[in-house]
Amino acid sequence: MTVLAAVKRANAKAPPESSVALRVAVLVAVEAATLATLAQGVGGVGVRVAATVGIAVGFAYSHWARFREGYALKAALAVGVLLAFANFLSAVTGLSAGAINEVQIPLAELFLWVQFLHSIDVPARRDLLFSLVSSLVLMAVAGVLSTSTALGGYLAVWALAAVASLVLAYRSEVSALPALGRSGTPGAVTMRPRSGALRPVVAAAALVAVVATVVFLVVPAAGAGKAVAFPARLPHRVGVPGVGGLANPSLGGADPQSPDGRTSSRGTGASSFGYFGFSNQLDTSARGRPDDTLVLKVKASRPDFWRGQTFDTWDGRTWTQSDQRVRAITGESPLQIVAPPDEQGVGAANGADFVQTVYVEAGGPNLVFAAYAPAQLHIADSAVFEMTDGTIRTGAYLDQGAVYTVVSRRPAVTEDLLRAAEHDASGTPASIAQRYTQLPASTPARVRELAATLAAGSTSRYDVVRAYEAWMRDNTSYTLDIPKLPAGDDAVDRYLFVDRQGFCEQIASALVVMLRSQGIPARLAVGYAPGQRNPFTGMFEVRASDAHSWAEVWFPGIGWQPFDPTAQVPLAGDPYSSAAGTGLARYLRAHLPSVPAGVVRAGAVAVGVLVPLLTLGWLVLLALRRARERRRRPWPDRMLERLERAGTARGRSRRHWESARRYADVLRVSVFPDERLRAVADVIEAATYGPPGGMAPDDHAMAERLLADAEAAHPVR
Amino acid sequence: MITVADGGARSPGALPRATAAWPRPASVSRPTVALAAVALALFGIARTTGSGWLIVLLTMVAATVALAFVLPAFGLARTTVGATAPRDGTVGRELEVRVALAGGSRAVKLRAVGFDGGWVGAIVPAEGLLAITPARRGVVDVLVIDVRSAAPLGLVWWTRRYSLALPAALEVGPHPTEADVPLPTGDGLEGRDGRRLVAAASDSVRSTRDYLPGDPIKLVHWAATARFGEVMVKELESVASPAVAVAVELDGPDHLVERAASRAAGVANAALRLGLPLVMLTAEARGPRSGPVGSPREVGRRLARAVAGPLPAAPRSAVVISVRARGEREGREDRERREGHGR
Repeated sequence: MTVLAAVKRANAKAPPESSVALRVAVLVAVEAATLATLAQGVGGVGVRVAATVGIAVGFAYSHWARFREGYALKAALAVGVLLAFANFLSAVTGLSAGAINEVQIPLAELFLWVQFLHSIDVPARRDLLFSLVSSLVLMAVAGVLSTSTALGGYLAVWALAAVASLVLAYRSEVSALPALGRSGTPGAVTMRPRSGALRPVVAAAALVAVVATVVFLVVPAAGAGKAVAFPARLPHRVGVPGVGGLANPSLGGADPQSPDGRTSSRGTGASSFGYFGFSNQLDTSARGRPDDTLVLKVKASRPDFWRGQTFDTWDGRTWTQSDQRVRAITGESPLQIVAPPDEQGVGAANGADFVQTVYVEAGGPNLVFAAYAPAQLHIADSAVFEMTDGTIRTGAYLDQGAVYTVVSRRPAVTEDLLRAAEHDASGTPASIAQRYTQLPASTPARVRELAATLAAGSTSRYDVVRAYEAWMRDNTSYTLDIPKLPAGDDAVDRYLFVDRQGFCEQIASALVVMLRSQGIPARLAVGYAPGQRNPFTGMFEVRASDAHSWAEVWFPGIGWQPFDPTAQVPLAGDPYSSAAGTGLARYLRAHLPSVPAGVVRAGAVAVGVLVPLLTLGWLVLLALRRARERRRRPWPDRMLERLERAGTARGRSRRHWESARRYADVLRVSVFPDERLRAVADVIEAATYGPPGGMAPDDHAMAERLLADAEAAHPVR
Repeated sequence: MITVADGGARSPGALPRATAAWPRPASVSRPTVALAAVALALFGIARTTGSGWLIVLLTMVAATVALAFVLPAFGLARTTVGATAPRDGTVGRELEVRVALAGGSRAVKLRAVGFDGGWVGAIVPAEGLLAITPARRGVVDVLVIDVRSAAPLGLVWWTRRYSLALPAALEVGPHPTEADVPLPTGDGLEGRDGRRLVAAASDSVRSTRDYLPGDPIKLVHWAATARFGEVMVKELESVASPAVAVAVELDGPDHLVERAASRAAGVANAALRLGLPLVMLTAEARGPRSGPVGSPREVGRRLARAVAGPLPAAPRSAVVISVRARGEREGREDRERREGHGR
């Protein structure tokens, strides 16, 4: 077949599809995908009207005009597609190569226009299936754009409609064939399904759901390591006062940029989700309690600390950043982040890329939150500022809707690697050792003594860290409910020896102070714990209450490594389940409505005891009722039914017009070749049509025995 | 004549065991290819954008395609087929096979293998007539039916082949060509065709008599009536017609063999139409066969079973008409052979 012939064949007019059910199912799928895409903020009024009302009208018109040739319409639609494509080209013209991500929205609009235009000309089943596939593409577009679980509703509707469409299309295809004909008219009658398509649709949808769930649990999670373009968006660029300064409007008067000490730099008060650690200093004497406001969504392939900044100077109660110098990093996105020379661990050079896209859900500090150590920043701004500890501040406020992507790089560190690192100070740069082993003279001696005692015998820094963590785990506990630190008390001393309770800032401070007392460089890092992974969006949902602080310890030849006894964060080299469904059960438990324990127990009792009992009782009642009904029926009916069962079991059911004798004759010459069947049928018919009481009970017994013998002689195989 | 095929799980009583092959993939629809391509693209995009929803979507597509691959096989594995077929068929003439389907896949299409005729659809359970047209002459002991299903999702088609051993074979005779009864030379029959042979063999006038009320008008002897001036009728005497023996030699290339079979059927049917006693001389797989044939149906059956091979001797009194795959030759050779057979 030549290419031209193949093209002609592929474009040959297909027979019109007259199944309204199929058309409606496809329309529902298309509309679900369309609405899902529109829900991501795609398109103006024109696109929205065309994609909602227009598609429905288009489908209705297609059905009405399905028998028409419609060459003029096809030409008009082709022009429409060209116009939509021209509109797309004009929207993307001028975008730089680095802004490929900006193409997503115009591309989604183009898809919507094409979907609308196509809906006007879908006369055949083939066209409807094409629409279904294109709705899948549209749903994928929505999936790429969505960062919300709300897409699940659209997806569920789309999936159900898509399965229904496939089932209905198949049945329509089979029904369009010549049917097995009735007598005398082979192939001439139109086949009508004896039953509706609801059951196969429901069964297929249920099966797809089950299999999809299983696949979801094992399929690799979405990664972001090989992307050609990373999302970056800054909805409204408002510059932070002061070059490279830290601003945190969520702290209200505690905002480092607060002009009057009462309201934030944005003129607002403190927010319920503000974390006091995102400031120039961190007071460990009291901890504010951020609520559960969703502040960030982080798209990443594995959990990590979303690090904001570090503190280096400790005075016994408060951490401060001693060095506020910043270095401006300018240029086009992506901005290359080069850590200060002393901050660079040799492992960073050969570390694997770890991509995180951060979606800001609540306006907070202008800190770039990312796993250590950021190497590349995709942000819709031309400049950011790097602190001397390698942390990044933006030049603009990061309001809700801001998106940036960070490519971090750190070596795949394992316990063995950390243990192998040099224990003595010889491998530590002097500037690191000097800056990050600072302790105030007021540090209580018992803190130093405890640190020395616990470190005794440890041959590596890693073992020292683990020894401290183990002691704190065994001897202290985590709580947010502790009284404010009395004036003059050392926060670490009080935590270790008095309260034996503390929150993360105190626990991490204790670890840093003890390490420093042994000459091991360490610092306090603040940021967010990984948050809970949403298995559907593949994003870590970070809430204000995930604000966290932990210790970073310098390992010669490796660099800074985070340690925290309260957060379950694996080392970079630790294995991590990469299945898409990881954390699904935990996520569902956390987000499904909580049920009181009593109700759960009652439910368990119901499921475990009552349901089986009730089911058993129902089955017994059913059996009794059937037995009663059977007994009430005349003997010939019961016997004919038994004959039917015997025949059906062997492959030939009784036609409704067949008498007992005729049926027995058919069985005798086909699937049940036993002459006794005729005698059985004779008795049945005699009992049916004979005078009442004309049959002796012996005749009944004989017929039953004959049938039993015949069945035994010709067992079902 | 019902037989059931269900993969050997059940045997239809004492009938020959019907067998069914395992379902096998038949074809993948274009939407499946499109879905697979989109799924691959989804995976690639998901891996590069980190979109979890794409993975969810991908799992749905993968589950759908996976189920579309396996469910038809499961359905067909549980589908049983029963069929009844007529005893007789003719090449090129449509006949009806009654087919019953039960269990397994809900919507299927089916066709008989080795016959002309396209797919027909059925919503299972179903029973109805399947129109088939035999394409070749022969004896069909086993009716082979392909049942194809892609249920319920319609993306991947699977086929299962059911071999239904017929209790009574379907005998497909050749399509008879229009023919007269050519008579061999010799025996004083030169130049006569079959009609003259019949005329020669029909009733002859023995005498005439006076007309009696009730005599049919066709017995009026018009010449005698004219001569005697009174209505005279014929008194007839019946004369037995000689038997015609059609000798069918099917040794030769296939297309000539089938042409000869059709020609033989035409000649035999023409002889039957003329009311001639007919004997067919054929070779069958079991050996030479000679016997009287009384109807076109019997002609078809005899020719359905006819193969190349030695023919039996013709009855002594029969007029032999030889039909050969390599060309019909009549006359001396036939007579010589008949005489030879007679010796």
